[in-house]
Amino acid sequence: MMTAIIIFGLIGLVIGIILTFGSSIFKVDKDEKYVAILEALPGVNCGACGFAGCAGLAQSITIGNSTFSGCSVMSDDDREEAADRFKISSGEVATTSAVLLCNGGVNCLDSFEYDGVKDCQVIADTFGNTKACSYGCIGEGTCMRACPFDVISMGKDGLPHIDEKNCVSCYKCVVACPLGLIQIQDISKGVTVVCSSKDKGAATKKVCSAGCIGCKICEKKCGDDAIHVNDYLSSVDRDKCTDCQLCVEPCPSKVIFKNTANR
Amino acid sequence: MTYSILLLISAALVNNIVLTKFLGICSFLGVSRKLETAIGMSFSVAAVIMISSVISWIVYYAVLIPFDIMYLQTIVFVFVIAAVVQLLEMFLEKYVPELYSSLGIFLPLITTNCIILGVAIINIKDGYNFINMVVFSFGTSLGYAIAIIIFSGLREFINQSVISKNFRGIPIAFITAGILSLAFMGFSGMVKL
Repeated sequence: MMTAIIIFGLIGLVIGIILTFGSSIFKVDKDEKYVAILEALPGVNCGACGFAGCAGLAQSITIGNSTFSGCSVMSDDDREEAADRFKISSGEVATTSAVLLCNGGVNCLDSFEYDGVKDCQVIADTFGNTKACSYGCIGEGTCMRACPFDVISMGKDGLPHIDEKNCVSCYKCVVACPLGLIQIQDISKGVTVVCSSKDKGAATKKVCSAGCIGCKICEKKCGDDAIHVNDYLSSVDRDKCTDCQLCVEPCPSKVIFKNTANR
Repeated sequence: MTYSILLLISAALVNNIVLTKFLGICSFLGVSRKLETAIGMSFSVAAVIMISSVISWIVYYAVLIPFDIMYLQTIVFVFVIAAVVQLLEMFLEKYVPELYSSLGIFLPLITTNCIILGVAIINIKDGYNFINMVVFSFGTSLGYAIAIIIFSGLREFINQSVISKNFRGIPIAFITAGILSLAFMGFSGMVKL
């Protein structure tokens, strides 16, 4: 027993010494600026910047290809301060957020009672949809669980509510939603059609009181040729939309919502 | 000499470590998405297998046997492997940073790759002498490289083909691995040691 302990301790000692020498021989001199920038970044590795993690963006900022605006997680103050500290421009930040393109929830009928695994992906893979509308939000909160920043909560109306002020547009929920109902949009201006149903107007109206029925009233009201109905679903051309909001009020099923940075 | 050659063929093909002994499945499935990383991974696994099996063989015969503490074999081998991987990681970060960043998290995970410990233990269990031990370790790493490179090529091909939604991703990878394993079973009986 004693020999085992001594020998094992000795082996450990030898390996430790070798590793200590190894680490000094193979030492890599890291760029100090890179390390400082990496520390200034949030370190959540969400991937919203398009790089694999914070290290990727830090590398890109170090060599001057990106600015801190690439990070949508940092608050505006932090971004300014970091940009000041490293003497680079803070860059333009777009106000984007994840937006749910369905206003169904309790407004939409259920096609059957479901008592299985509470996960949208499972439901979408097995039954298609528990809602009578095949485009409708299932409402089991897969997006809420996918969100690494806790900005999505499930409301009493059976729909996920996205805190657009704090959403960092990391696309995790966009990927998680099996029906593709969540999109990242510029929420600083314009309007959003909060419905994804491509069913005919009568079929939509039958199952959901809050769905786009393709009545084309918005199309007629719009003076800028910016909103069009295709496949019984209204869609907004963001380049042409002048933020006049003439289409919001007349919509009979109230599916057009005004975009505000803090809705 | 004939024995050594037979041992090499046996380790690489007949008793392929991944496809007939089912060791190292995690990295086999985890790193085989792209051919490039699969090649990098098989090189680093080969390096770790060679270095760690030589060191653990020496440690076993020079330290554990004289002091009659063979029961410490597993823990000492794990210890040695962890140290070798650490050293290799430092070495790669300094001299081959491209490979270092492309392997990423899989490099430290080689520590827990059961092939490495498996080879070290089989070397002792089968009582190889030094030369045969080196030959066996080389054959095993060759076998791992063959398996993972063929498999990653297949997976790249599968990714571009139309597959039923429920089979996409890992399920079809497992089915492919099973068929590949059956194919390698065809070598059984080819070499008698």
